[in-house]
Amino acid sequence: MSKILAGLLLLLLSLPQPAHALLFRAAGGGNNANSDPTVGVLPSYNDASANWANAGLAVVGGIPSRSTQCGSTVEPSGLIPPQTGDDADNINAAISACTAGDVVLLGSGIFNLDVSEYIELDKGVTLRGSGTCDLTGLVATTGGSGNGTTATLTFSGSEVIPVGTPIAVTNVTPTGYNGSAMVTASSAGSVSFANATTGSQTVAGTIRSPYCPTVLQYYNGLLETWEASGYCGVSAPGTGNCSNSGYPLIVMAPEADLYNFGWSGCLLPGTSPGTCSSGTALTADAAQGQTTISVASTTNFAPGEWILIDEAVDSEQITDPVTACDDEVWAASDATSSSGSPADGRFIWPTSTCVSDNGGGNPADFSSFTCSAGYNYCDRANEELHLIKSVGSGTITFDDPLTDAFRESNSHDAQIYYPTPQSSDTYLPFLQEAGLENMTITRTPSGAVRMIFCAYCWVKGVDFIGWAGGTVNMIYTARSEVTDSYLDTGWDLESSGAEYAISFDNAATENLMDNNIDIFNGKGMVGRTGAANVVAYNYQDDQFYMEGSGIGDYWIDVGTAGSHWTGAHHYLFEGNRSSNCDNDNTWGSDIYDTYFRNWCVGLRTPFIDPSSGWAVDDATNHCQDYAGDQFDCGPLRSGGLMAWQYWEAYVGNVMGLSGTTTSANGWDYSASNFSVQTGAIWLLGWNATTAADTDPNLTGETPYLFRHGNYDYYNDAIVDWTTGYSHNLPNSFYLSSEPSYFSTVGTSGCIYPWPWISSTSSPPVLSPSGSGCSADTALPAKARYDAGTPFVQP
Amino acid sequence: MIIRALFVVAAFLATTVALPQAQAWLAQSAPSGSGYTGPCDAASVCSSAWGLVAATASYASSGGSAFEVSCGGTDYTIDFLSTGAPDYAAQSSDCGDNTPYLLTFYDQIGSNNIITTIGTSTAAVLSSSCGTTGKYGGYWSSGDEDYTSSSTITQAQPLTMAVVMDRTTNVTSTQAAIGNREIGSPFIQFADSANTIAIWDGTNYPNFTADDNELHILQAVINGGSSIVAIDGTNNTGVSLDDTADFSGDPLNIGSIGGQFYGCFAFGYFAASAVSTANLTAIYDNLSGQGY
Repeated sequence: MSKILAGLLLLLLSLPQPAHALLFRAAGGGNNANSDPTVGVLPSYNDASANWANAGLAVVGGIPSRSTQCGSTVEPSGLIPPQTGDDADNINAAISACTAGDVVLLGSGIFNLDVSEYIELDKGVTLRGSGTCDLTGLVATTGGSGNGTTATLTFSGSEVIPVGTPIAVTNVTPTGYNGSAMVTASSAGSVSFANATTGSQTVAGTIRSPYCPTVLQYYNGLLETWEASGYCGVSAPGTGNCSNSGYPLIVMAPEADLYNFGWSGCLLPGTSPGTCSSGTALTADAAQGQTTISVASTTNFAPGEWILIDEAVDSEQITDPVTACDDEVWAASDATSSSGSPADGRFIWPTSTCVSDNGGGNPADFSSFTCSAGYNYCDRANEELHLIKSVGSGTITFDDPLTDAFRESNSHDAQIYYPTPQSSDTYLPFLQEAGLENMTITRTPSGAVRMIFCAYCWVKGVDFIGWAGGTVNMIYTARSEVTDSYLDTGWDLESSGAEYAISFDNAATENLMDNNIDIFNGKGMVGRTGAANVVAYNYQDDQFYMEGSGIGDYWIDVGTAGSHWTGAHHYLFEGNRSSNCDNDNTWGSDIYDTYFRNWCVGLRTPFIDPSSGWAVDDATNHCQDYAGDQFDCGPLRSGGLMAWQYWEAYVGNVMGLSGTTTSANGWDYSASNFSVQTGAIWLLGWNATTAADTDPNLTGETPYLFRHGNYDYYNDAIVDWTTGYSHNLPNSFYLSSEPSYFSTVGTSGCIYPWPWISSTSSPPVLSPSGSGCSADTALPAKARYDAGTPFVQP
Repeated sequence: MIIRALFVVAAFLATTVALPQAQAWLAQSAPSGSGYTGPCDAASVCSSAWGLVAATASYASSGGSAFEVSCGGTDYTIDFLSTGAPDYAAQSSDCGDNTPYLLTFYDQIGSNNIITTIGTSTAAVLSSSCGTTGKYGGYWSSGDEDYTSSSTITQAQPLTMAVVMDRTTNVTSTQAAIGNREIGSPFIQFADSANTIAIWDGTNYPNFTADDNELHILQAVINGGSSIVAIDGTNNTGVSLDDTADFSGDPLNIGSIGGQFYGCFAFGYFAASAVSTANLTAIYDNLSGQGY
């Protein structure tokens, strides 16, 4: 079948009928079809509002409410995997038997997979769990007993947690009962589970059981042992480190083969040779905001296709603005221009002649380093995905604009690519409108959900607990969404790369992460290339490194951020409540991001470190190091841009915590040296390796950073209005109306105002109204977390 | 406060110096179709092969084990990618900033003749800066011992051994490369003068020029009067190597045989035959094409 026919068939079959017109609507549509809310309040080079409005499934009318069940409800097999007819077999068979638009319904109970298996969600169906995710979940116990082989914990409540349910048991004394376990006996208000402590014991602690009736787990997967590199096995203490080459539990992709993806017949980046010679070259430079590009050939491109566009940074060695090593970095020629305009791929790679400076190593390694991690073809970190609207004579028009310039001139060599398998040049359409809903996923050592070559896909109302390698990884994924979910507690929180709760990777474009609880991770999130992703109205808090990780819970890593590789740009962070609003520079620069109407608190909410039982409190500097000794917490900051993170915009945010981030408590308004500060609203230009060395481009009044209308709790005022910009801030940079989770009245009668952050109002952080409502702030996700009902709005 | 400051810096280093978390497919089973050709594909003569270069495409594409590394008190097995390179991203992820000690190089030909050392205290360290072009290798320094094959070899001449190694500049004591420790004489070694390779001929060590601090592709066919010494693609014939230095149930050793070795090892192979000059050249071409 020709690619054009395939593309047309894809459109006819995979999209709901009303979506067709929307798919080809004029650029700049979506949630903000008729206006640009950033005019007058944001520099034009930061403006990707036409793309932000299309984030998630907005273009196709939101997540579809599907009701057509395909086949019988898939029930847990009860078999120990792997074997024929086990749960992976049954679920994959059910998906195979269905067609796009169907629902594959999983019954209540525990679905067990072996770590050699995974679910292949390769059709536009909804994989949905049964019932409502309103189970007891997190339970503070009142005490109990143990006899050496089992322990019993009692809790308030009448719920019966089924035998076989995986649970996490933490903060227990004696500590021998801590860890992940399986319920062996249960009655209303109590559970018994196997443990490793001998002798008669009195125990007390906390149980984390699934919130959803449908549970998917790796039967021999990750355990809550807090061992370095993670321990796997059927039950604690496990059989040793988990495999470093495992699978995510669910793969959402058009191909069941995890690795059979490529571009224009080339292997994916990171796989030798790391370059692609069969891309199609642009014949003229394209600027930010353009929707039509000129190309050398339109062969293999057709309306309805998702394509990759990228360009080389075209780096040269320049003096590193961070001068402690007196060395150089590889960067675009305009990477340190004092003007943010025009928006283009002006990135900085961390490669340095000073090998201790961020690991880039010898300049001779530059070529291989820039593609080594597999997020982009060599040096081609500026990359986006776009949907073809029409094809002309030597031109291709997308359905929304480029967020950044893509240039054929000089050696930028901009190209576009069509999706294929890795070993052929046959067109491989993106998977579209596949969804995952309403279930608990746990004990995943190599990521829980991976989207790759996915568009308009979603994860909604999913309870993640006990992961390594992240909860959701979006790879070459566009306009997909993670929403209403609970991204809870990684069980291998060390500096290994497995500790990031969620990642936008490989040109991920216009995806949406909203209304989630994102808590107890090493980094709240990372953005490794890609553009115009929107992170909104999430509660992101309490990131830490576990005891024994070589670090300790004292170290506060990034909370809300779009960084950790070179190339991410034009992300929007809106309405989140986070311990900090950062971008790190560990693996290069990420630019043009916008932080709007967030509450960047500057401290983590006090919590119990589950790896040690330590009561962490940043406000009183009560943390511990890797050895378990008390240690100061830090670095404390509300907005923490590290070196090279240029042309970011902070508008209308609230920075700090009332009564805490004050001069009297030793805080500064602005600092750059993380090792000697005891807290700063703004920690700017700081450097990972040499604390005293900072990026002078990000200190003081600087053209490299746009700040406007941010209220801070150091001055108890807005002190950063920028001349020439309006004080009239819009409600949103991507929405034209209140999102549904704000307009909903909760079970406790709470009514959540929107926007909930208003830096120009008093107070700047709004509270909900309604009699019987005890939520402290008007962020729905935070209220759900505080109430202990992460899936039920109080 | 000073103590705290230093500690913070150290901890941050721990979080940042490790290589970036690689994309999933780089840490997983290798995809097929990469077009990789290994040195033992270029000439199918290898009886055993070890090191940081995949000997064959099939071994690479099947994700065969490259080496075992010990870091932070834990041992990890690192496999090859289809590119022919070990999965350094996984290694980096496993080790973080802990020193990666190379415990074992796996035999890639399938004869299960791994070479290993006795522990981290004597192990070479994985380095990404061997030679003048910055290649990966196992780096020997003070106190590091030889690696010994797990199986013994019984092989009369002719036989062939080869290594890709360098010697650190300004270290001009005798430096063993590969051979048979049981007979006390390495076949290939760095001589006691700078920029010199020596091959044991049973009585003496005829010398060949090879600059220190550069990785060299050294192949020796031990076959009496028909021996060949191949140094970086130059096949030296007319040499007569020891006609009694057979293996008689002996292990094979790499590095530190009869003398401390300072330098890098990247790849080695053993052939139970006399490799032809054409095949020596083919293997050289393959390895040099990979940057050695």
